[in-house]
Amino acid sequence: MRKTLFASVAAGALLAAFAAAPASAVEDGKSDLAVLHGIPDLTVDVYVNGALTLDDFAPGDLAGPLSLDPGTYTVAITAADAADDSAPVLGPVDIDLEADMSYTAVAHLTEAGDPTVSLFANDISAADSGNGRLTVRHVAAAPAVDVLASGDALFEGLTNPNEVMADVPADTYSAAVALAGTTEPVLGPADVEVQEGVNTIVYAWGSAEDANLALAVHSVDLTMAAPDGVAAGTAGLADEQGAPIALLIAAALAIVAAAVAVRVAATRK
Amino acid sequence: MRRAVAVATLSCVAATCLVVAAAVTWPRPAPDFGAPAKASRTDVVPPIKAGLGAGVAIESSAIDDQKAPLEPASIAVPSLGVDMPIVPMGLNPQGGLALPDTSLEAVWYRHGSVPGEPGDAALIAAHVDNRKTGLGPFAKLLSVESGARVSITMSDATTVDFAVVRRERVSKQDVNFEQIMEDGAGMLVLVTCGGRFDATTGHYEDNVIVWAVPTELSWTQ
Repeated sequence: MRKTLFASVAAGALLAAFAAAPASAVEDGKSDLAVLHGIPDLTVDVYVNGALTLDDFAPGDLAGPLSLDPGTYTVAITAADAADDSAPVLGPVDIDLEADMSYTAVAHLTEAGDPTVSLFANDISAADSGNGRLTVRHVAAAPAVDVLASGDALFEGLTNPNEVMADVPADTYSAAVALAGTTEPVLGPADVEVQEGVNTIVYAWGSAEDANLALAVHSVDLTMAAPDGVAAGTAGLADEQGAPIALLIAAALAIVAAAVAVRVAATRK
Repeated sequence: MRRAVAVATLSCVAATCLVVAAAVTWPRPAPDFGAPAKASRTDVVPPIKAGLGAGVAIESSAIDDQKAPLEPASIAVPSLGVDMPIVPMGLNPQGGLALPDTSLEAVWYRHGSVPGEPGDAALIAAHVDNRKTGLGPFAKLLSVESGARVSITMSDATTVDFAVVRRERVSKQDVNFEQIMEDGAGMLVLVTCGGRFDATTGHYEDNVIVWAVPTELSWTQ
């Protein structure tokens, strides 16, 4: 969960590309927070509890996650050249972070095109082995959309600022976003890699009116159980037969045979 | 007749010797060692992780300056001549540890702990053998001795050293990795296969498990 990959990509590009997710999900008793900038054409500074935390945060950027103590944090977003957070362009908003949870705070446009901030809780509960989780979040100034996987509607009628998710077998999916009820992509198709034990979160952000819709991807590790087993050998080259049974039997037979021979020989004498 | 008796007697002695010799010299699994008791926290000194990570105040750090988390990149056991790369992997669809089709790469269970970090034991496993690549370096673990140094090189080229404290062969039917990782808090747990090979299933009947504790505070970040 500490490793995050973010990619803001043009339609058709490979979205997910992270090599290896790290260990455990959220550290015990802590809260993880990532921040996504999904407002086009506006470079900002982000203040948290009055302190400059993200300087010159550009559209499409994702920062974090930070491992934080649970609690309430005040977030204010200012113009990139602001001296402090006294005149925010967005906020201040209070966000409540609970222990053992993973969050992403997203600065984005509403469906009507106004800037806002949404806090999403990232589902890091375990998936069945072999599965990953695919989450899609609509944070774009655009009407309801359908999410298509390989041409079929996977999620229907998703509206800003909501999300849909499903656990799916780990694989690479061709995903696209179309206006609800249509199949002509307004975004994508793009290959989205869903890894085993990872929540792959896809954001549709930007503005349909301004023709700058974009996809962004953020990966968060799920809290997976220990393996059931480790089958670490398949060739039998390190075979340790408990005892050389066959040899022992052969030797025992030899003894019996020899003893019999001695008897016979002695009897004949 | 006497000659026949002598020959028969001799062969009897020879056969007995053969049995004794076979029993004595036949390779047997090395005996387990180490205490099966739950690791006491006082025995294990978790490396100190300085800098970013636990308890970082959001006020004091720009969050886009965070470094990528460390991952184990290779494992060496100098006394056994083991030195092999590590790949991070998760679970296979059956719920077991996913493993590559080679005995020459070890796997770090990426849903578990990072070696040297506090918390549940970190799990690193490798095939004891493989049809393509033959016996792997982890075959040597079957005879690793107490105190042997295990050196994990991390993705940033720092190393974390461990000392072997326990080795045990456990039937795969009895093994419980959740318990092992919980009980081995702060430790490194190495796993491979051993025991009898069941040709009908293509699998070994046992897991060979080696526990190692951190020996130095080499964690840097």
